[in-house]
Formats: sequence, structure tokens, C-alpha cells
Amino acid sequence: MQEIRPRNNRQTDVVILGCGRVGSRLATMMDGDGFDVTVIDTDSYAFRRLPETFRGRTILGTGIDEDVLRRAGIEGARTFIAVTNDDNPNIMAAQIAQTVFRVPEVLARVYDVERANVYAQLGLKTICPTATIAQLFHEQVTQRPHAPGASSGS
Amino acid sequence: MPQQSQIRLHRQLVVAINGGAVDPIILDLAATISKRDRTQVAVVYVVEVSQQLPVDADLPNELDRGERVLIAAERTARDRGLRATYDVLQARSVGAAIVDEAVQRGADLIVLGAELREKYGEPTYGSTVPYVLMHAMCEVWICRVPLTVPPMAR
Amino acid sequence: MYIVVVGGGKVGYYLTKTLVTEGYEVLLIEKDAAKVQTWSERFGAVVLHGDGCEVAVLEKAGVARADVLIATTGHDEDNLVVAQLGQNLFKVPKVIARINNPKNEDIFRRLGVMFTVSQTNIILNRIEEEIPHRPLIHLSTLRHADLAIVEVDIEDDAPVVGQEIRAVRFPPDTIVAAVVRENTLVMPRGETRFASGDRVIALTRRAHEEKLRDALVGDAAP
Repeated sequence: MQEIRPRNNRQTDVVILGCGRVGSRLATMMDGDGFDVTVIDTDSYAFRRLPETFRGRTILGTGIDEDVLRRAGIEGARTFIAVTNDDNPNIMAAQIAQTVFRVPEVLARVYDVERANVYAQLGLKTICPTATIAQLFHEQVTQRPHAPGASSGS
Repeated sequence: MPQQSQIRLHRQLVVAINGGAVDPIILDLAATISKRDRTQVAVVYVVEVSQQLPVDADLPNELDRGERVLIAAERTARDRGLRATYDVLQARSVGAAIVDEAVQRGADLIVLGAELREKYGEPTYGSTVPYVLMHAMCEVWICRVPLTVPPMAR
Repeated sequence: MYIVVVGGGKVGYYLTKTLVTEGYEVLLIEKDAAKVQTWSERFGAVVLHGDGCEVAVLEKAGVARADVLIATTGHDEDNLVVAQLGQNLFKVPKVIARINNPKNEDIFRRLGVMFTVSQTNIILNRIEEEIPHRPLIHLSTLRHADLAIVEVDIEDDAPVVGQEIRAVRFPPDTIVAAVVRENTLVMPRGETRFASGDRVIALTRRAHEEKLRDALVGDAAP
């Protein structure tokens, strides 16, 4: 397990759980913005998605383990984002970040629409790609001039 | 001298009906068996209770429907000279209720109908027929109405 | 009493089997179709095919009327979600979550899960209980519930040999869950007679463990 150490001892600003397509892209964007980013994934091969120029840290481990989160510098982080491919690890890790480590800003990706709604009601900020993408497609299709219900214009 | 029928004698018969198109065939068959063997016949209709309700929940509409199906069956049966008992059963699963009823009555034959339906785009005979075939120890006869199109060619 | 069990692994399977034998109304939710098929063949109509972490599946299972919901999967994050949905959305009076990683015991508590059972701690307890060897082995403690599952071996000279279960004076709140006889499981009934060599698995209050031992193996036991 090889960790890319930060070049100085600055604190982690953002902890991102999951280095898949979304996680790696987000990490790269935030690194570009000048934030100190740490990415966690259970699969070291996932870190290949980060560009050579990425200056943040990578931590190998599961996000539902307090010790792993601590190693990732969650204590003192301002933002925690859980974007693994599974809903439940995202939900559990985000709750640990929020309740145990009191991270000010916590976000979790939850694919299941109902689960996303329930946890949003329980005080977790969730983003549901399923609902968002369906809505985008729906808007694209229904806003065409010939769609049913759309006015034909003149 | 004509050869003796290979079908053995039956003492107690459980007939499961559901108000479908195959009911008259089943009742006809029951009448024929009963005439030949002096079989006791129990006609049952099973109300299936969803897991959301207790198994002994009050279900007036479903019970009414069961009563109506049994009254119609009784009329058909009387025309064929069949004397039988008629009961509405309430259970979690139609198949389990039929098998239990057969065990409790010491039945040596169950007669029930198979109805072709479509589920998830595929033809199916549902779960009751396989359940009864897998769990009943006595003889089981399955009846089905003639089809116009072979199930797998739909 | 209606009990819903989520997860049809070994734990969920044996739990369901025991609860069914005890006469409870039980439903087991399992997402693997092959397991559902196997368990359905053994239990009949008490297995629901579906993901117990999904609201719609829990709804279909009638969790809203359940008295107890037990999450027994091998994944803590799944057990957490099941327990939280049960507590917060369906208002189940008693929700119990299995914990696979003992580190998560404290986290589950802090995230509001009221009752947990930790596999690893059960094994640790069992090792502790086995030294020194005693005829009564404490198998598991249901946290906060004050209940213990214990295992007792019946020796030749035990006072209960030849006695019917209903004739034995057990401490209050004790249930004989299973009797293992010559490697086969005997489902205990009132008229079941204890025999030498039986292994008895029983549920009792923690405070009554010693009394239970006395009832089964007598005061003279080591």
C-alpha cells in the first residue's frame, strides 16, 4: 500500500470517498481549484484515474472505518463527499463524517431515489443521479416543440 | 372383458378453484371421479393475504368474491350431480394452503387449474402449481384450458 | 408477534428457522434468487425475494406492522441502513442489527441504532466462557436485551436425563431453543425427554444463567 504523501503539512480540506469516474474527476477539479484533497478507495488500481499532476493524497481502505477516515485527515476537513458505487457505504461513511467527526459539509451520492429521499429527511445531504438524469432526459424530450402538451408555436 | 382402469380409486379429493376459466373443467372432473369412486370432495377457494396484513386480517371484499366463486361452483357441481363441501381459506400462499388442506383432510388427490399468464415479458404458470407439485405428497392433477397459440410462440 | 429478518446467510437462516419453530410469524428477506429458492423449499411461504435495503421491499414485507426487525447481513453498511429505515421510517418498536466489524459497535450506537449483536464479540465471549471448561457455555448476549443464549451438555449423571422438558423446573423467561442429539437437531416440545449426551441450546435472562445450569446439570457439577 503506497501513499502519495503531501509535499507539506497543510491540512486536508476535502475528503472524497471513492475514486471511480465521478470521484477521480471531482478530486481533479477540486485539486485544480487549489483545495487540499484526499481520496479514499478500497482498490489501489482505481487511483490510476487521477492525473499525474494530482497533488492530493490517496488512502487505501474502506470509508466505513473510523481509522481509515482519520488517516485521510477527516478531522479538520471542511468537506466530505461519498461517491463510491454503492449507496449503503456512502450513506454510512457520510453519517460517520457528519455525526462522529462533525465535518461541516457532508454530501453523499445515493442512486436509489427513495433511499436518497429518506436520508435527506434524516438530515443528510444526498445527490441522487437517478432522479437528476431522468429529469434531464425528460426535460430534453418534453421541451421539444412537437412533444405532447408542448404548444406548437406559430 | 374390458381392461380395468389404471387410475386408482380416490377416497378424498381437494379441488382448488379461483374463479377462472378452468373452474368448470375441474368441477366436471371432480364429478366424474366422485361418481366412479364415491369420493368425498372438498372445494376450496384461497384468499391470499399480503405480508402487509396479519394472516387473519378482516378482508370482506376478498371473502365476498370467494363466496361468489363458490356459489357459482356449487351450481355447476349440482348440475353434474356432485355433492361437495365448500370453503374459503385465508392464507399467506395459495399453494401452501392447498397442500395443508389436503394433509388435514387426508386427501389422496388434489385437482387444480393452471392458468397461463405473462410476467416480466415471459409466459408463466405462476407459483401455486409448482409449489403444490413440489410439496404435496398425494396425487396431483393439473388442468388447463386449450390454447390458441403455443405459450413460447407469443 | 411479527418478526422480519433481513439477510438469508447462515445467521439469518438459522435465526429464521429457530423463530419459526418457536411459533413466531416470521418473514426472511433475501436478495439472492438461488438462496430464496433453497430457503423457500425448506420453510414454505416465509421468504421474500428482494433487497431489504430498499424502501419498497420493506413496505411489501409489511415492516410497518412488524414488532421486531433484525438485520443479519454480512455487511455492516447494509445492516445500518436496514436498521435506520426500520427505526425512522417504519417506526418498528424493536430493531436489532448484526455487527460484523466490532469497531462499528460504537458507531452504530452513535448513529442511533438501539440494539446490536456483534459476532466477533460473541466468539470472544465464548472463548472467555470456555476457560475454564464449564458444562454451560454462554453463546451470545443480546446487547441491552439482558438475554443470553447458552449451550449445555447433558452428562450421564444429570438430573434431567429421562425427564420431559415440561417437567423440568427452569428459571423464569427461559426457552429451550434446540436439542442436538447425535448430530441431529431435535425440535424441543413439552414431551421431549432429555437424554445423556444431548446438547441443549437455550435462551434465558443473563441473571438466570446459573439457575439454568443447576436445573439441567445439578448443583454437583464442576
